[in-house]
Amino acid sequence: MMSKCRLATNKVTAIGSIVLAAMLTFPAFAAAEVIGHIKTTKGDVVVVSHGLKRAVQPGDKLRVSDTVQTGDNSSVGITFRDDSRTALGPNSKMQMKEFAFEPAENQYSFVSKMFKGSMVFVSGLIAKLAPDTARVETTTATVGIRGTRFLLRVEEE
Amino acid sequence: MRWIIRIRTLALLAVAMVLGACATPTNYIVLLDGEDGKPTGAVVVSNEQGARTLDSAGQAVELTDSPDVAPGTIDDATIERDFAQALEAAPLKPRSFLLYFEFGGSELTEESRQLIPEILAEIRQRPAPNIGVIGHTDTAGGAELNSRLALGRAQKVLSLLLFAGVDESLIDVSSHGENNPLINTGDGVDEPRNRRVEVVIR
Repeated sequence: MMSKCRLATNKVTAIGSIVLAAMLTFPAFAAAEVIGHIKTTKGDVVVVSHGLKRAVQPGDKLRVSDTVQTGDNSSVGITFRDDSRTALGPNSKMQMKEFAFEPAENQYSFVSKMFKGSMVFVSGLIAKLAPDTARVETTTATVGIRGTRFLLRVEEE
Repeated sequence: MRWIIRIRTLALLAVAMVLGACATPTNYIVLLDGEDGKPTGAVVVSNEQGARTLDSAGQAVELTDSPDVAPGTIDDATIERDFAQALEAAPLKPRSFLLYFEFGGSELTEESRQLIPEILAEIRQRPAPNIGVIGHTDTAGGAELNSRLALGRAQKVLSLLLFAGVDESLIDVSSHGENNPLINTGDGVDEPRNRRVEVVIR
């Protein structure tokens, strides 16, 4: 009885240590800082976070490494913490690879990857305060964002 | 909607030169003019072969790994076909309010106090709003002290918003210290216009 109990406690401690270790190893996961918000949605819009897929609606939060996907006749609009804005048209897929916006510490980074579809982009404070740190990557080329508005189209391979 | 109209004007101005001269490219980027009459920015498109800068409104370039793609333009109908839905989904432009404090203190000036109802009205009317409350300082004094000072004033504005019934989960309080000035000055400059709290409604 006694030993069973102790075993259970040990197990909990062990799981706790693993979770803690995972959080320390993947700081982005532990911090899970909000980098932007979904502002508009039409039709089928999902966000994939660490392998988990969820349907999203206006007001929902976006975090680093999240992938945003739209279906047929669907679209999504996102506003980021640095006031940059983006919108994706139908059958689009974009991942937020990096995002840092800490002006007090002079830390800036905006890196997204556009896999397919159509994108509208209006740059915000990251491109203004640290233009070399803002870019959109595609499979064939990289777009450095010096400001301010552009349209980007990528056909699926 | 306004965007679409502006793009139409753009396309009219553009020389009738379509990228690639024949079929419409599948992967491309188009630089637009600045929003609300702001100057057009620039994008630098690069691949392993080199880099090209687009810096005038309406310029477009194909996104390929080949070295010799010259900037051209994309016709109106193609832009409409490829981007109408994305343009329609674009979020509203964030709206910023600047609040100023009585010298050395944490009391809003009378003028700034009068802005609060307008801020609350904007929060209420925006679909799915979220709010940034950002403290800024001038460059006089140490950076760390400035950052703390800015955060203190931002906290003060936060309490005003909470008192007015704004949902705390919608608000993000931060300090930009002296690194995001309204007026660019050198270091160590006393500039009252930079000592502000910005409420940005997104």
